[in-house]
Amino acid sequence: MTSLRSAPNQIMSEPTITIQGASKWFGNVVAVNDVSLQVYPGITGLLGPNGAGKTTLLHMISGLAKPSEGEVTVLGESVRGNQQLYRRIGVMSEHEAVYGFYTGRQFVEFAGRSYGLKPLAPAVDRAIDNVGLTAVQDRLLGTYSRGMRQRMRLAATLVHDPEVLILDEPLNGTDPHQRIEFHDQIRLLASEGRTILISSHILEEVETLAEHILLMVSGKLAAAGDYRAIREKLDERPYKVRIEVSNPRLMAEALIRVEEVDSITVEASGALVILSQNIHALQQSVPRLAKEQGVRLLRVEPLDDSLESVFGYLVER
Amino acid sequence: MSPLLEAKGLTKRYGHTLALENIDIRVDEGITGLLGPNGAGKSTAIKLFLGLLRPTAGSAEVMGQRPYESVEARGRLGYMPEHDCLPGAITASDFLAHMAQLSGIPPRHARTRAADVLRHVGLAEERYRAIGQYSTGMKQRVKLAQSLVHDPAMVLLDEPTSGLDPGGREEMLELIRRIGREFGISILLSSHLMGDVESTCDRIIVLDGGHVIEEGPVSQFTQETETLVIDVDNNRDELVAALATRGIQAKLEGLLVVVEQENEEQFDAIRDALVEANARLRRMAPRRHQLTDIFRRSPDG
Amino acid sequence: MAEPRGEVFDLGYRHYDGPREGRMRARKALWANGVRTALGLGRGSRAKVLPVLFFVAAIIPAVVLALVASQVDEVVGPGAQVDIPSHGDYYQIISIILLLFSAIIAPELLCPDRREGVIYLYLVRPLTTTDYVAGRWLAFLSITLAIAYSGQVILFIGFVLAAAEPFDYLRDNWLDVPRFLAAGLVVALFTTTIPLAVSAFTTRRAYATAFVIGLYFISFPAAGILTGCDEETDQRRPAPQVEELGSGPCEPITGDAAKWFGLIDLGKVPIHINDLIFNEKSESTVARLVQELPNGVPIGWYLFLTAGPGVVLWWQYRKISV
Repeated sequence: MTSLRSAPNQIMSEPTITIQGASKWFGNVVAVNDVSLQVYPGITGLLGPNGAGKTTLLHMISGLAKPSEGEVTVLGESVRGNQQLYRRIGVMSEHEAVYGFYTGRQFVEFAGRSYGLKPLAPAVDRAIDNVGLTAVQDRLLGTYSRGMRQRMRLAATLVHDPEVLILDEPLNGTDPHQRIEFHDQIRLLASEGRTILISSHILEEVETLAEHILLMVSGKLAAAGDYRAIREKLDERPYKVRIEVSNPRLMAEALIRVEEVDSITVEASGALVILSQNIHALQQSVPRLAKEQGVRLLRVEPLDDSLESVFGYLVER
Repeated sequence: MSPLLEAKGLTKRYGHTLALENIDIRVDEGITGLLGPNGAGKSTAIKLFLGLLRPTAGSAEVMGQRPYESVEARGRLGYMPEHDCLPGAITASDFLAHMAQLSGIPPRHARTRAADVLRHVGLAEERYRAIGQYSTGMKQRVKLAQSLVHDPAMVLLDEPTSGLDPGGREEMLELIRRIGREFGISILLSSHLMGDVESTCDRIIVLDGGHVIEEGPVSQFTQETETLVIDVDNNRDELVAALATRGIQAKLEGLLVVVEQENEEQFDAIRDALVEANARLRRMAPRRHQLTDIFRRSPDG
Repeated sequence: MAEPRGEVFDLGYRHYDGPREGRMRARKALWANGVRTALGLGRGSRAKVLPVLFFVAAIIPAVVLALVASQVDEVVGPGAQVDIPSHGDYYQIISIILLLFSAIIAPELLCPDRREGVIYLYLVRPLTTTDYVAGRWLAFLSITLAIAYSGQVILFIGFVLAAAEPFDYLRDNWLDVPRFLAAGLVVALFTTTIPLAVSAFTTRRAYATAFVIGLYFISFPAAGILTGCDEETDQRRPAPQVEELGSGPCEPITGDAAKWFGLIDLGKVPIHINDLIFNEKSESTVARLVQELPNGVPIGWYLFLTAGPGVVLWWQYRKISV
């Protein structure tokens, strides 16, 4: 899938979240196992299968769970028992605990009051305006659509203008319209310099939204960083690419002489599927060989480097 | 032969709310996606085909029968709801055998059907444990299995990947593809996830505001555009410059080099520019339209 | 030497080409599943404890009564005029057990299906809500009848064996069999329908059970107070004097009104009908009061309290949609 990926922050700023050797166990169950990582301003996607420890990790960052071991620092301060720090973090949990008998505004006010915001009204105005729900703020939450409720929950998460946002599966059950709106919202917040850590099961979503990725597998951090960089780190795995050229037989002959090419299959359509252990060599050989042979290069598509296949590889290895 | 599902002038009104307005739908063999925002009328349409609602006007027919007039029309339909619907205390095996009997299959056959279908959805020895102890993924498989146990001609699947993690989701989608292609059971798939629809469906029907706003083969909505996207791992600026010397205006979109296609000869220039820039070419393909674009175009609400 | 042979079988999906028996099969399955659910079959052993306890509790009085009947002659001597326990007495004793049994177990047939959402899977199959409700209702009625009749059969056999001349006893008392069959049905219809109707309004079993038991237990002392009957002394309290109450709108409870108030005790409603069937004078003072009313009154009241909840149950499920 081709996708528009927003440019990563070229200025590598200081990490806003730092986790050093953190573990968390509940009795014999080790939910998070010796994890060290950094999260920078911008959008970071947190991925992993069910039970990989994502929610526990988010809880440790937001101060809802104390690490059994290790250190969690947010905005340069230790999270542990740091009441002042909680006011700079906004948390939207996976499970909706919204009270239908509140109006949207009352709900956000409630959140604002819990942070002791004074004066309250301007902060609430700003948060609701931020998610574009000013027009419906006085309606009961129970009458909202699921997408509107999620946005109002986001407003409540934003009411104290946090620098760090922790969103656990915010898009569960929302429809395509609502997803598009929510994405735009999140991008806007990120462009204001906030750090947004968002967990999701929907890989396409993370792929279009996040600049950085954290992948958890059974309580361990399996990969971290830019998706493209992670992908390149995995380049030692066998790599399959499909190419379309004007003269497939000629191109195949040239390719088979390249040492890094393990096999070539000619599809009925004339497309070539090349299997190689050395992706870098292949990436450079293909245009060069095409030029040497006078073959027109029409299309190049890797068959296994979607986030999905990278994810699958990392989870199962 | 009558189509599997057919709506003619189908209208459903709840009080003052018009959930569906005079829609015509025809669903034939294969896997059909039913898309639309919340409140678009998708679940109303599904309920009408299941005979749980009566149309205000028009008709909804299942293989030529109206399910709200005769419950027998539901005999060859299967339904997998989105919400929880499984009993916690009994085993999957007992539950499925019971469901098969409710569709008229005698007890002896019901048992073997239950065992076979549970095997096909990937539940083996677990089937003799109480469903309450199952993981989300296993429960989702039982929900799917109960919709198949009476060997329907068509199953209606409502958000079948809801709550699954990426691995579980991929397995469920693979199962859905097999049901549609190998088992020969047609599917109407309702989903909010365009990825699910793109990777499984042959056709889609898009509802919005109680109307059919789009309809057609999935390929029609994911056609390639004239924009060529070149993804290289290094030397992007050099590539843009090399393209420029060959008269090709390239733009950088994030980390991607984007070129508007004009003619076939352009490909030679691009190839040569890649060689000149010494760039490592990962991907080069036209950008495709995406199913999500349907919802970008249509007005909100 | 024989050729080595090997085969690979196709384990892929097969379409079902066996018989499809339609709605009648669905109805039978609903009934059978209801019976299994009520008895806790196909579930853990804990689910079976209560049904077994109730069954044992209902059988013990039958065994005891049968033993008493067989010992009467030896203790008081033959021909003595003593009040030996009858089939009617047995229902009076176990009606409380059946009331509790149905209040506790019957909600299990309806509430979990709606709480867990299984009902939606039922309703999209080729059957109607009426099929569903009727299947559940019949299933529970069958179990209640089975319990009630088991005790009566034991009792009848006990009576026959205890009689000096078993054949004479059979000839003289064969009418007891259709009587206890009919009376058992009267009790079972009553105890089955009310808790099921209540269960149609809540997804929580415990609420339905508490409500039904509450209904029986409040109506019992309420009837006692309003009729002025005291079950312990087996007498009606003397009507309070007007002076004691002072002057005012309050009237002392008169005998006529008391008869009507006797109908309030819901637990005894089927017993009134049984008293008619067995043509017996009831042991209970409240029941004796009600017997002073024209027969149509308790019969009408019984029919209202059985058919009414039945219709409510049916109607409540008609309204369900996914």
